[in-house]
Amino acid sequence: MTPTRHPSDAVLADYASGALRSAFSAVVAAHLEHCPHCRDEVAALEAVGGALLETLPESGLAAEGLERVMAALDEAEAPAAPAQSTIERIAFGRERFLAPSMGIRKAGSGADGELLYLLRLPSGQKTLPHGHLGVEFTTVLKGAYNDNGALYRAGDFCEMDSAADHQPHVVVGEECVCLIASERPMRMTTRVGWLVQALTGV
Amino acid sequence: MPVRPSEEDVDTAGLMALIASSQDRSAFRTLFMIFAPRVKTYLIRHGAPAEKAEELAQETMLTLWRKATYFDPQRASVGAWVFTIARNLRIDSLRRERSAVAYALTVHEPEASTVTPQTESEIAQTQVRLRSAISTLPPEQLEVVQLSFFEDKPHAEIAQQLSLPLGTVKSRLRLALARLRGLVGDLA
Repeated sequence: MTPTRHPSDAVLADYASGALRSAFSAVVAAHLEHCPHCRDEVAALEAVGGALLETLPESGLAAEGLERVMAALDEAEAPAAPAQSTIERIAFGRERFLAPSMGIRKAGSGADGELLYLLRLPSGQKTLPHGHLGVEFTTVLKGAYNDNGALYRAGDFCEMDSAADHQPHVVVGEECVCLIASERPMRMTTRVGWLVQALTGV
Repeated sequence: MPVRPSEEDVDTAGLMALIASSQDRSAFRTLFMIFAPRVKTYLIRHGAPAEKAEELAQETMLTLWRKATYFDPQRASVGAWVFTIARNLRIDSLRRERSAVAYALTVHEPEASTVTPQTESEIAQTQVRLRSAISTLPPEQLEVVQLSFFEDKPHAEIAQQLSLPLGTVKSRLRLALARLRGLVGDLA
């Protein structure tokens, strides 16, 4: 099943030009693995990048640069093993349980305090109502959830900004796992939310 | 002094095939002379000091040599492929320098590749069309596209630099990218 909810053109352009911070880039990459349509879009933007590169003026190179590279060709290492999936390439910490069968695995935080984490929620779980103080990207890896009347299934991508409050609700039948990058911690809209946030740091 | 080749009269995909099939050094030399000086410019525009840009341009070309067998001429142009290698090296090198925070993430975005294959000549024609479209973009659109691809600046900063409202920068960028993107054809 191919995803039906995609990153915006602007997000794909930032991804292709390499302007996204790594946490956000990873969430887009996870969507691309599920989405042939967006992979073609990114390839088209990279073709634009290639054409722009070809039209750049040339910088002078160090006189011995080419010979140095030519000499290094023989020692060039064999190519790395075939790429693993995005999730396998991220070093996540141990899972911390928020409740039985509800856990979070963080992958450290970026230079500007942005967070990247895996969130696992059980079938039927309603999250606490919350908003965001900055941008949040989500790619669903497993299961599905409803949010503001829209259904997000495995492979789907969701971008939230600071304007909206929401309360995702996991569809009954299967647990839901998401890869999430957020610019800042959430903005909890209830007291219970504040307490959970104090305990988990998201 | 050899004549500096230009990518316009060189079959770059053919040279890649020679490298992949028989580690052809003279093919590599030609590609180096086409791409390394431009990759260096790309990195300098992104704020790399000249020496670092030189080093990363060399590393980009070494990566092209090492991964030559992965290049698929039906899924990307050589230019697009080199662009993604240089982009990934730039991102990695920036991350390494910034990652005193021990950001536990090493993502190597895959190199350029479409899902939908095309013929080599379609891809070559697309690159020619793109280059000529770039040279005829209205200057104000070309400026935002170049800033967005080559200077790693958030749109808000580009707007400030050009003394334009953010909305104007976004709409110019959208227009220009849609126009260029349209030339790549409907892949999906």
